[in-house]
Amino acid sequence: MPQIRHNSTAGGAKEEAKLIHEHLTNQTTDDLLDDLSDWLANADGTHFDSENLNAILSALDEVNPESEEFHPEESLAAFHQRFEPVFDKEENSSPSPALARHPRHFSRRLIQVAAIIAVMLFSMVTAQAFGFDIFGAIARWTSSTFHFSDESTTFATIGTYPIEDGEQKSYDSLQAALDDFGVVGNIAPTWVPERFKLQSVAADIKYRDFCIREAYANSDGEYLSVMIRKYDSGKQTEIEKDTGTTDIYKTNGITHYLISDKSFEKATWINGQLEVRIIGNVTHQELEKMIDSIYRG
Amino acid sequence: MKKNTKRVLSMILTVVMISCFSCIAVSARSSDYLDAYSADVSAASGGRIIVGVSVDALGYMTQVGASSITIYKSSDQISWSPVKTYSYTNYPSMMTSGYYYFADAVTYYGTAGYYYLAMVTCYAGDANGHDSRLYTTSGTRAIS
Repeated sequence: MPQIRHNSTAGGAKEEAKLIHEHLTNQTTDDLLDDLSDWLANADGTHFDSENLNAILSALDEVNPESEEFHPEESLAAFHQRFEPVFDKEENSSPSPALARHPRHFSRRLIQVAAIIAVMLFSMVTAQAFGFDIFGAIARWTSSTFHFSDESTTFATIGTYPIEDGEQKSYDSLQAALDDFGVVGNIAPTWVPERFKLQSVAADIKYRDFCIREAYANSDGEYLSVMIRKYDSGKQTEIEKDTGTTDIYKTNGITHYLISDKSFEKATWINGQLEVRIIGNVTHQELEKMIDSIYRG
Repeated sequence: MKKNTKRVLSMILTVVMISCFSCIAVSARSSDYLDAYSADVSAASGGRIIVGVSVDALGYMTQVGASSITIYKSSDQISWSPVKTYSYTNYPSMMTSGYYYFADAVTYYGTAGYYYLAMVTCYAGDANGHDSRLYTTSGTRAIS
């Protein structure tokens, strides 16, 4: 029988809040800051426990109350005074006299800035070389902010969890699996190259990490797979790739990343709560055609 | 030339040189057996540390999964010591046969207040050969 996990956990919300408050009582400032850090690590753009945050901040207020002698206006004035040359430069739109008097100082700063840019570029290149997709991470971050700023784009959501943790279930098609999980949004390709035959569609949940996999194969030993997983910003998936460039394919308001890996072509993207990946012995054009078929309905 | 300028220029040169080496690393990166892999560590009540592992292979493999999982412990998140190693030879369920992916988790009983991370060797192979990659998770604090 399908189980709606969100409802089952919401039932104990009051009890959970009480436990949180009891847990925070008598904690030191350092412990509370650790709790705040943990809260930040677990929060994302769409899911965060505001009650827990309020409880931590209230506990911090009790342990370490804000000084009554704090005057924001005076602090702002002191800040402006301390960084006067910067504000002068912004307000007057002319070179700061302090900088003009020290051209050598300026050139040293320029070299330092150049070095920082070089290190950043190097880090990005190295990160790509070792399979840590820093560009992908930025893209995911961009997707999150886009979710809040553009309401015209529909993003996929998960409605229910029809199987328990540790269970696996087979389906006749990917769409049937998505329907069973109450996934709202365009996710499943409606076209795959004719040479492939469907082998299996399976869904499993391991410690709340749900994953649906659809696998195809053919008599030549070629392979094609579509994988849909609950997107977790704290869990970085390493995707193997060759030295080829990562192409971007934008359609339906979603950025798809196309990656080549020797004889395989891969596509990956984030759609709302879901991370989708296609991999197979297909051409770049076939991959784009599969993606297009998702949004044709 | 000023000492600081020399230092900065040396740093830029070092960066350029290391970049050349990293280009060599790219060509050695791609795998004939592994598609993608991830692992994470989460904390559950009673000091339990759950290490989740997910490995996707490039097609159906003779074996796919984790060949080893080593759990590290730290009190300050700076110095880490290994506390437990799970090996496929001792725990055969860390791999699956004749399939194209593996997803499972192991539970370790840690001590509340300490931080734990895992280094997972992700593995896939068939009759023609095999490949593995090391994945290191971020640290998580065990709770009571």
